[in-house]
Amino acid sequence: MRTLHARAATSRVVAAVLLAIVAQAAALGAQQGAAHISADSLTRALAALRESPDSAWIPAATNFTFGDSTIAANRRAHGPVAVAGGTLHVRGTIDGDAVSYDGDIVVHQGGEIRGDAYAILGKVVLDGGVVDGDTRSLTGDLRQVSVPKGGVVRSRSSLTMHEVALAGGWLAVLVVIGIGVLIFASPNLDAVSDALERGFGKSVLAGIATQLALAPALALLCVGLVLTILGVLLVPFAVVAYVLAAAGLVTLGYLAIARLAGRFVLGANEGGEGVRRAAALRSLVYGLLLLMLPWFAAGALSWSPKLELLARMIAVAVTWVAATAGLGAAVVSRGGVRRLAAPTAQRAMNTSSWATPTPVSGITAARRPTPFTTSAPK
Amino acid sequence: MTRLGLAAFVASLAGVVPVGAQTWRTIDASRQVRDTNAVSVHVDYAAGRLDLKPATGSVLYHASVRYDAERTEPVARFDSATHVLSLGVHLRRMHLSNTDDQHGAGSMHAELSGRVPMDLSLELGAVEADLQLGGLRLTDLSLRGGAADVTARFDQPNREQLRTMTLQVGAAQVKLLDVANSRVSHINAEVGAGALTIDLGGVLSRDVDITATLAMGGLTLNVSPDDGVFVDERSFLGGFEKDGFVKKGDGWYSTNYDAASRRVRVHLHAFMGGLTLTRVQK
Repeated sequence: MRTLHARAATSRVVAAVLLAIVAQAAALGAQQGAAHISADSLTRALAALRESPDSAWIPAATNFTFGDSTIAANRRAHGPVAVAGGTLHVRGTIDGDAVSYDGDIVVHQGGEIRGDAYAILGKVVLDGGVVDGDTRSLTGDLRQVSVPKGGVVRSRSSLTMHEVALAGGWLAVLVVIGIGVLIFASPNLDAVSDALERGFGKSVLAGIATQLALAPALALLCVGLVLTILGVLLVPFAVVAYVLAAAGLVTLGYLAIARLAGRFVLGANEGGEGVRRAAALRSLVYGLLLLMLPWFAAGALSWSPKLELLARMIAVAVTWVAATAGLGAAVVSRGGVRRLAAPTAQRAMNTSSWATPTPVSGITAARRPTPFTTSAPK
Repeated sequence: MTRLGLAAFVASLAGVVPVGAQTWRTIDASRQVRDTNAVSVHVDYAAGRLDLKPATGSVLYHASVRYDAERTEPVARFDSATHVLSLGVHLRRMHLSNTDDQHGAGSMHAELSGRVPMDLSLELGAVEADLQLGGLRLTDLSLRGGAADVTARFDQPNREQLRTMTLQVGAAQVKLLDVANSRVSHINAEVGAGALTIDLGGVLSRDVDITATLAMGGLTLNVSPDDGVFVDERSFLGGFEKDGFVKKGDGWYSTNYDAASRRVRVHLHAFMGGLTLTRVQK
């Protein structure tokens, strides 16, 4: 019995000690919470919040006062009133918004906020007072975003890196597709390149016409299938196949124009099959790099919105022309299936140098050679 | 030793490969009712869990949004000039990771005033939603569900005449329960590849016209055994089961149509989808 009493007493003592420790830790935490806010950390936190359009109106850190603050009864203050690391007590009137960071906004009886009340890492308490606008309180994992390891939330340099990496990613994807096309559909790529070489303007016109005809052709295809009753079941498959075919033609054409551009920069290579393939790959990579260059430039200029916009417009224009010409060439060459004679051979065909002139008087028939025997020397 | 090396290698990889960062925040927003002018409410919620119900107290709205700041952005804004209230969560950018898993998606609990007449439009993406619309003062309702799983109920009568109810269901599962309590006169339903259930339970005080366009999806209509039903069907490969219906002139009439005190008229345009009509005694 005595043992039981002793155990119970020990448990009570341990519980009391634990409670005291927890209470002290909580109090210490609260003190540290208010004390650790500096102008710099507040600036960083607010910069992160201003990324959201809803929070863009939050005043700059320099407009915050640190610690508890009170708008006295019968007093009128012009907003925004901003407080950090303390509670804002409103007993009078604020003409505008009220903001607190790491603290509450308490609107007491008779108090009025004629704008919005926004408590960041705190809460808005209506203790008989009135808020004419919206009341908001933001809590949660705020500091992880606002104060990351680097100290900056999303700097312009990281944004630039992101944009450049995005362009690099697209380049890598195109190179991979290009290698696949070189391996599995090299003749088709050659034929589309030839079509581009023969007539760039014609390819652009064909590309524009194709773009304009894409949607009506798809509609016609669907209508045709629906009219055949049984074909109606094929409509979803036909639409998917149509879109894939169009995307394939655009890609083939874009790769062809990239290879052509690369060949223009690097020059033609003569040699065996191996050399020719290596040259084709090199041309393709250089060409794609050339076509993606405006996108890289736009990414690199993302620190300046105006320059970035200009660069993006150029990039879009270059890409559109390349894709349109490529699509046109792919259509003209029937996806690279219809392979016309090479330009040099065509030129040779157009001249009459290959023909042997026939004399007006005619040609004397040659005598048919007859076998003859030679007598052996006697 | 080999296993230890392999484990160390995997552990080092786990340290190197960045895990999708998540920054969870909660925003509580509300506004007190100032007048009883009509309000347009737009709820646009991309992914997560949504609960909506009538507010208690004198607030125009109250919204508590838990969201991942890395990928989403909350919207809780009332424009006092135009009387437009916008609530929801927008995707900041597309992520390859799954956004509709339990850990990846946020939640929104919203409350709307029952004192103010409002037209409510909801645009829901990959959302699991429970909407308690009874007790509000809805004048118009528009619900658009992409890949959502939505249950909307009118447990209490709507305190206004609901002029139109527009339902656009993509690949979503949408159930509307006790719709008669909404005091609706016209329902316009478009179903792509999803499933829409309209339960006309509750107090049906007037005749209801339903215009349903079904592509490949289905519409289930629950009506009381006492209700007269008329179906004007224009379908291709789809349609509805005609047991208990009689063809008269322009459409199909239930046998009790002429004697019924409440009538439901369905104008059905079905491509491959079907209408299922069930009689539910409540």
